[in-house]
Amino acid sequence: MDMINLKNALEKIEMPQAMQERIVRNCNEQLHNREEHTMKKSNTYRSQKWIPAAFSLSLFLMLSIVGTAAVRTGFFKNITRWDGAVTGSVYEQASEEIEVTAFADGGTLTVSATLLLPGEPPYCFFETFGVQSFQITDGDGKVVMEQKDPVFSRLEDGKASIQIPLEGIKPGDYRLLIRQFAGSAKADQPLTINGIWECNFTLSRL
Amino acid sequence: MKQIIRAPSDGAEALVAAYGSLLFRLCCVMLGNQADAEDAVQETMLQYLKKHPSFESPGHEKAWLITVAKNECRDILRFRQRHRQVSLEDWEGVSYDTPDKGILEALMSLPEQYRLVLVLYYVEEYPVKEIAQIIRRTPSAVKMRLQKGRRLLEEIYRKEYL
Repeated sequence: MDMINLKNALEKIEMPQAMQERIVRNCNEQLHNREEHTMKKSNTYRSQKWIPAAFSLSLFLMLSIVGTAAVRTGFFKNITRWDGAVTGSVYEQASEEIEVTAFADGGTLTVSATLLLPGEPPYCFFETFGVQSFQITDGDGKVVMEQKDPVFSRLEDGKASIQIPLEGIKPGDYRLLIRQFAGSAKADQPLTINGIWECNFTLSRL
Repeated sequence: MKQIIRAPSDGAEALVAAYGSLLFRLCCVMLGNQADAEDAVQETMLQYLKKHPSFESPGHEKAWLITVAKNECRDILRFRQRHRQVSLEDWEGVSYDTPDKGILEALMSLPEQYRLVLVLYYVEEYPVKEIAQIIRRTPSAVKMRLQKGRRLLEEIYRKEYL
């Protein structure tokens, strides 16, 4: 018996559309329920006697972070292989930890990235900092430029000025959307920093 | 380090569209029952969505999903062994009356250990080495299962359907 017949026979098995829809609906429902359950759990006070203690602790924490410019929202996450082996790490949800401005002059876009927590990990380890993945869209929302390779610049006093050459872009108003930054130190693999940063810029002349 | 980034908005829909049929096919062959296969695929998708793991490449993501689906099928098979029940639905529910019904029925009558390697090797075209990693056996054990599975399949097919 030819195994091609087996392959052909099995490849005819497709998941029916109704089943696909059912699975999507059930998954979304279960995830929603799980989220709701977690929220309820975190909102429930187990005992009234903990309320004063929790109140004093939160007051203490609030007082201790007064004056801090930014609140830490990011966290490290492992990158895994299919079998669960950890092969690297990535820093997630860093949108509130980096401030971005951009201006274009001639054929170059200068992106100024300011680290709001320069003394804390992972930012305190970086020597160079760069944009790893970004998109530039025009006024109609059409993507005019996209890049997924990192463009690095030296990091000084928690600030990096990254120069990106603008290719094939006409003068006009644009929106820059950065999805990934990358930071690196000597002899270290660059660390990807995920988040969403948006800013507008105008290209007046080429 | 390259990694796959799936936007949260992609969610279950994109996942089912990308891997639904592959996992469903695999689970059907492992379980021989459409309803159980659907449960196994759904559980696999849920595990992915709950953990939201980051992978090196799409190949790793696919292999992870296959491994989880395989484990889900094993759990269902173990449950069935403990709680014997009469299935209301048979293999015909999955084969959709194709002329290849005989091959599918012959495949379904093989022990589970042969079914999985045959599907991964001949349908998903995984190399022996990768199948060995997925089922946590040595490559020579995979080769043995392929050889024996092929032979058994041919024997059953000749005896029952020719």
